[in-house]
Amino acid sequence: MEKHTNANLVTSENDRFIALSSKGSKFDFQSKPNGSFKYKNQLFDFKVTHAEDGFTYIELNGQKYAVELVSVNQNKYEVLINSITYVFTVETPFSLKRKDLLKKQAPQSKVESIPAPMPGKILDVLVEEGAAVNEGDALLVLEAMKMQNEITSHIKGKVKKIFIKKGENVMKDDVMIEIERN
Amino acid sequence: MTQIKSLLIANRGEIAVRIIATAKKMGIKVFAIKTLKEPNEMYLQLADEVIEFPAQNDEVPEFLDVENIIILAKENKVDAIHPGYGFLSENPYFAKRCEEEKIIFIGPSADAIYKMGNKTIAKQIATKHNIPLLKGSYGNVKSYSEAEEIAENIGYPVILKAASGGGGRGMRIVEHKSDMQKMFRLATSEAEKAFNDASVFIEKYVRNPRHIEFQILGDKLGNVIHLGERECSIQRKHQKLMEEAPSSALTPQLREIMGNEAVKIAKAVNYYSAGTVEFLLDANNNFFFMEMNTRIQVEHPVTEMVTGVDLIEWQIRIANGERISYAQKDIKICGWAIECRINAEDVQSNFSPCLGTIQKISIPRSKNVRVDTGVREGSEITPYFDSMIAKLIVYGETRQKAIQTSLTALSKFKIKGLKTTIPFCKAVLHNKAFKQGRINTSFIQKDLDLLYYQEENEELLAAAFAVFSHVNELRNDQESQLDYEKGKALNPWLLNKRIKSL
Amino acid sequence: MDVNGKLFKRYTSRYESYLKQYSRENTEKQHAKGKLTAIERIELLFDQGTFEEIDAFMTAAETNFGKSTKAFGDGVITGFGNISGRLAFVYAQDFTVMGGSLGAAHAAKIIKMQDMALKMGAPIIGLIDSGGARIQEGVASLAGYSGIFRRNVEASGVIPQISVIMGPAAGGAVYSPALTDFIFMTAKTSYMFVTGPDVVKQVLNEDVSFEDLGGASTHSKKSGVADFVFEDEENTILGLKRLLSYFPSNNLENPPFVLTDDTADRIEERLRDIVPDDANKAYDVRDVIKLIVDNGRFMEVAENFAANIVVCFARLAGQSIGIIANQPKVLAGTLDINSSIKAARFIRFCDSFNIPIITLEDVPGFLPGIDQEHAGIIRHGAKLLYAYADSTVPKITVILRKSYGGAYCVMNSKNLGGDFNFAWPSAEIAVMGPDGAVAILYRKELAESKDPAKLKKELAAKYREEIANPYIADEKGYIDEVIDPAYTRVKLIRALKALENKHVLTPQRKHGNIPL
Repeated sequence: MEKHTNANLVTSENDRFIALSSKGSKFDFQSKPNGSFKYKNQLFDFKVTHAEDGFTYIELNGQKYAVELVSVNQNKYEVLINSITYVFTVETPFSLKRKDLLKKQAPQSKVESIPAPMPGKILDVLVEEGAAVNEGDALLVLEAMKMQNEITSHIKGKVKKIFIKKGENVMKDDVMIEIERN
Repeated sequence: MTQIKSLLIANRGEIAVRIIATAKKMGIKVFAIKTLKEPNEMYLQLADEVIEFPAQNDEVPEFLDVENIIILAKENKVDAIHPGYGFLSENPYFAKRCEEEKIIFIGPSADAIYKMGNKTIAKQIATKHNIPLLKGSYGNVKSYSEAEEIAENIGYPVILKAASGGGGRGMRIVEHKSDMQKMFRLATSEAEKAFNDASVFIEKYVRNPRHIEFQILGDKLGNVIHLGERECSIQRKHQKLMEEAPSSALTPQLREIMGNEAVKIAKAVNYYSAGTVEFLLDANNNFFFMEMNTRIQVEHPVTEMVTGVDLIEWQIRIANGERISYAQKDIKICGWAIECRINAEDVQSNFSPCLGTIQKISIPRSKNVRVDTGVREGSEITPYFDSMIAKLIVYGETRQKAIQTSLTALSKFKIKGLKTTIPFCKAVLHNKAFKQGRINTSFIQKDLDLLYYQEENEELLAAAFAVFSHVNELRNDQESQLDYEKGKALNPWLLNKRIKSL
Repeated sequence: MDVNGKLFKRYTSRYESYLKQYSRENTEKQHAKGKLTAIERIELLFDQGTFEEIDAFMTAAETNFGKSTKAFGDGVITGFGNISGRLAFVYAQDFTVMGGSLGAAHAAKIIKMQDMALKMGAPIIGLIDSGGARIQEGVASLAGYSGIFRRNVEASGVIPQISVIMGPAAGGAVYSPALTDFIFMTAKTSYMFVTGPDVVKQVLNEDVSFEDLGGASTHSKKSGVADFVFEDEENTILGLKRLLSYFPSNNLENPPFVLTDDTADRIEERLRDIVPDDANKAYDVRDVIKLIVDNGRFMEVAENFAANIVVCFARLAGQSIGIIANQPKVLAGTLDINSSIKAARFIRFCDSFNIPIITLEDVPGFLPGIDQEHAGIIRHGAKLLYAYADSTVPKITVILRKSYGGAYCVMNSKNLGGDFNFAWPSAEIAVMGPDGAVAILYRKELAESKDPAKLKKELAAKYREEIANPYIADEKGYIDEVIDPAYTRVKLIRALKALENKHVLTPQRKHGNIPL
């Protein structure tokens, strides 16, 4: 008799991995010790090659695409294939279950951050701290590649904090403004 | 007749490379300008001579610095300057300065640039010559209240445009009165930033028109011909993304009528060199003169492909004072050409620029495929210049064949290190409406469900690659990799001292 | 012995009743919170089949407060096994048994593990998921905590101690993790605080959620308490195993080696282009690290806290190293209170466990500001200085770009005790940056000038040319060598090889007096 454990836990050999895309699609793979993978109960072998031309290719049933691993953060993988980015978290059955569970439980976060969508310069800040904003209201003007882009709020709420000033440069993903949901 | 033996390119990137190609063919010595912003670019390697741009002036970007460029040209005793597109190409002052310094400006006269560059004057000339125009302010609008008044008169929607603009900057569509104030502010400040001139004008906005432009070639002897049209309706925020020649919308009759109007307006300003007359074409085949671009265009290769005329060569020959050897009837449009602009932009996040280094690039090469590019492995896409990586121009006997060959070429075009607009081009080429030639400037908003095309099983393979990488990561962390013994087997000298100092 | 006999029966029936505690029901209750059970965590952590449990049957002493229930193991599973082939001790609090609350027996079990780990010179890992002190047991449970704390301190710097927070840790319980070397937290299901939201509400009348007060995100970004945060428990434990692979078992050993296919003579030309020519432009120093270390792999500590300094573990030619790098991308890479403390603590750890320290320097100075001065940047900056100077492991510095003033001294300068000090040609070493220096040196000339901005620019360029470069330092021996960035990896590996048997005899003393 064993102690009761029923989570199918992660190991690198012979196990189930679910690639969960940021858009919600799921791909369920069975990893085999010999390096091949089963998908939807069909054994299929895909080949990854680092070719001499400097590109990495992934090949399956004659389809062959150049692929790049853009970033890895824990179990989160950003894959670039044919110039399209796919973001997956690689989950085990348990971690996937946990994820669904927490999603159901978690209250919507009260404070929403507005990150810079691209690197650029702040041309104008159109709101002040404490100001009420509606969905779609312009918050600031960001100039990138000589184009001015209005950054708008995607929620209704109150401006909690402004982290940037007019004339400042921002990098991609820098948090510029925080908005508190109403 | 002067003979140009050397020329300075006051530009960079792919257009510099393009000009060098023709100049070399003609035996002209090419000087290129090196800037600190991209000191190792391809165009510099191809040029005969590289001139370093003098000490940096932070205020004015290098290729907009009229006086310094003139000094460089004089110091190096070049016969002519080719401005390419953008930068100083449509700056009448620059053309005039060249003239004053006895340097041949490869382009039209300063006067023609001025008249066509100032949209108000251009419209007046068009009116005088009975060329169809859109209703509008016929002049600069000073305040937003004035803008509102005019808009009431001609009816919404209207469009605000920078008086000295181009390329979509300083341009805003106003659908309702309530948006006017905000849009007016954005348009003027953007115009100010981009062109150093905040003035804007108003025009009636035509919904879903096609953007049709005619390539013009005129010589200094007064001969003007047109080389047919280009269709540039695939635009996003007034930025052209794909172009083709000819247009599926034009019948030979309409082509002749519009071509004649284009020639007429060029003649009205004694135009010489290459130029482009832009029209809007509505669903009922009414066309309206928009503006004339007094330079070589980004999309000029599609015209070259279907006419067999080297436009850069003719710019230079005309600058030399030569007579155009073609009559209008000699110009035959043969087959179809499509250009895909491959920009370093992230189609998945609103075409935001993708800065970075091109780690690897693999360019398709085959019959009927031309790639104009200024980058190579190691090139950097910087925020200083536009995000264009390359132009893929494909020729086919029919439009259908050109589309097919474009798709094949795009699938072979590989770039590592950056995201590009290739998936967007694929999405357009696969689109049913596009295939049928049913396009207009709202195509991207209305007809394109997804801005990018996903190849078959692409997401599955990406997912498989993520899992593959994950399993690799897990294996990397495994015990088999760790060698504990080596960490324990210390040199006695060290171990003894280590123990002693405890 | 007869397996069907009475003696053996008693043994098996006892075991069966113990197993009942790990019922499907209890397991699923824990799973329903998005958490694994203690035994599942242990299975994940140890190599398959190597875990041995100790004191499984220990129970709480009788108490007279009626409400006490008894359970085998008293809410904690303790034992030992192999992690990636190496001995380690563990205690895993079991929330499914009496809420994982800490009573005297529970504490005694943990203490036994701490004592054993210290005797054996093996790492100890605490998997924390506990409701806190067991109220029924009163002072006995507090005494238990105290015993644990004392042993945490005793083992500090002798064996690696790591705490993994996988559920609540509240009140005094938080101090055991705080005394250990690294704290891991699992996002969304773990939290740590000294006084909980209820008390905060009572005392200050402020509403705050568990997550905001002491969740993983708060502790990784704001307080700096959590060194690593992972999205789920499986990844948390994988991360823990990965971290352990950089450490030796104790302070006498050297860290394990990792066989690598990344060659020691890899020349990396991309390093030449990574630092922008414009001294005011930012870049991500992690890109530099990636290009230098084995296979581009490194493990960053506290990446979201005091991000103006990057500290991470990595390997060079298979050897574990600790890297401290100024991050020009954040606050221009200046040193402030938090970054000084973060780096200082990291250095102390590396020094304790024979992990060489590599410093990648691009620092314009200390962060100026009233709040910094008033909060004691002097005291806290001194910690970093002390940690560097006090450490005796091999220490190598590479100056990538800026190295100005006091910050130059702090970041392992030659005279502070750097074994090898390299500089890239882009290095600017001086008392202060060009703008500041010119303003002081040419105050009069600038005041009299017709075009002071232009003159200032010219003078700054001259200053850069003549003073703010690596060559003066090189000629005076403060820099051992100005190196081609492409050869950084090669140079570092050779330097490390030369320092392999480095040892410094420190003066005899009880301990130094670090400016805590």
